[in-house]
Amino acid sequence: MFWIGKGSTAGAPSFVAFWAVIVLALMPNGAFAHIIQGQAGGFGPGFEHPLTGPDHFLAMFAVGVWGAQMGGRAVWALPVTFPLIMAMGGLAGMLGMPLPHVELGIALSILALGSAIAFGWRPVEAVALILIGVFAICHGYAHGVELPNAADPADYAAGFVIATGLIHLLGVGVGLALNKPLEGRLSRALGAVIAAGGVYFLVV
Amino acid sequence: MRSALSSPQEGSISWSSDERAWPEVQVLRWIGPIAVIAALAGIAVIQLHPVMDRSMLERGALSVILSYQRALPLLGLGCALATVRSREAALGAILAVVGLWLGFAFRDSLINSVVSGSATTGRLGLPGPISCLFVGLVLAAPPRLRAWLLPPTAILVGAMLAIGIKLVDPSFHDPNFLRGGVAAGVWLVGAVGLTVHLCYRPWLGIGMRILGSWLVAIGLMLAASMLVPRPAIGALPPPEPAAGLERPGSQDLFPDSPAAGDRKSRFAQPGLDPLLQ
Repeated sequence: MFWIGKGSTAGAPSFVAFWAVIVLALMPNGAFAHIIQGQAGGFGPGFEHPLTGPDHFLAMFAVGVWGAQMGGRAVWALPVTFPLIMAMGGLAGMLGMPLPHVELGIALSILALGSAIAFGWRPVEAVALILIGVFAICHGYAHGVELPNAADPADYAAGFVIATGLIHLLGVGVGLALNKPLEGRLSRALGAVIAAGGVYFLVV
Repeated sequence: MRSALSSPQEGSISWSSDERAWPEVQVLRWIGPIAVIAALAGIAVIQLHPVMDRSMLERGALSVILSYQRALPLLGLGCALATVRSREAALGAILAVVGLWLGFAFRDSLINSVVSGSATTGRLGLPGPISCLFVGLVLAAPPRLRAWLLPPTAILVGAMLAIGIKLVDPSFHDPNFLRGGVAAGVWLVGAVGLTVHLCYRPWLGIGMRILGSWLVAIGLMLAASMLVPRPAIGALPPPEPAAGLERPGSQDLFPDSPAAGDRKSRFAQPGLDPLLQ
């Protein structure tokens, strides 16, 4: 498979160029990837939502796996940054600030994070954090828009954030476990599967 | 004693040999897990009681333990105390008690300052989110900064707990409710702190930071969800009338009445913005 190469920053330009072409080709079909489930409830539905929504789950999981793959401070920096920025996005959504193409951003987040894992891309930490931050805003915004309509917004938000963090931890654990065997190829293959999920959400 | 506690990349953990030389200290280290198990059993027993038979002491305890808005910051504070040096942890615990006292002493003036203007209900729910936010910042901060942030945060968390307990007190005057709440809060911080202290491993530093980020995010989202006004039921805009149909009520039912005629001219005021008119 073309994406299972020698993971390093050397492959970054081809990686970016390849997916830029793919994304530009698919942009007219901007998918409504995020499933908005109407009236949200309290803590239980908030906790369930990231676990049962495949788009959100894949993105959160990919953040953890990517952080584990990058190693060093990124193991915790990425999962720590994501919920913080996601909360900012949530605030923006709750306040009704306009943010176009959120669903596209969510689908792209899965594609980009999966691809980063598949290519073993290890950018400078700041670049990774900025990328994570942009995607986190999209995810947070989508849920922030729904929150004021929830039966119990506070409970919903708490359940949602805790579940998100648990998915990050799961991703970190799986990433750390898969980094060693077969020189990390299992981890990259997992990233390719995640990226394929992103393509699905973009197209469908 | 633990000389430094941090993530694997930032430091290491060392245990001095003198601690292992004192067997009674080793026994004391298990107080945290024992307290956790004992209190879990106590909560189970209280839960088995019919709600109407519960005393105010039990209700006060449950109002803290079973409310994530009050329990999460205390859990975070316990974790933060477990990840700093013993002296700093002791200072933090003392300051949390001081904050609790300050909260009870000045709760009326604090609550009165909040209960004014609009969105009062939302602002009354802010003690929990504020505590979550600050405790999360302490946990997410680097270890050196954490030691500096912990003392003021401990005071804040104690004060917010006191106000939170008072706000949910159904009796308004029964001191047993406050005692139950305070005891549960102290237990939660102590049991979690001692247990995490006992089980601490270098990789838990990562978990602590992630927990901190959760708490910050939860605090922000909770605060926003309480302050942002919810859309009223039936506030949706009415559907647009079909083309060619007049809206009901658009006709003047009483042509001779003063309401008839040119409304625009009646509302026109010199000097006013046309949009406002």
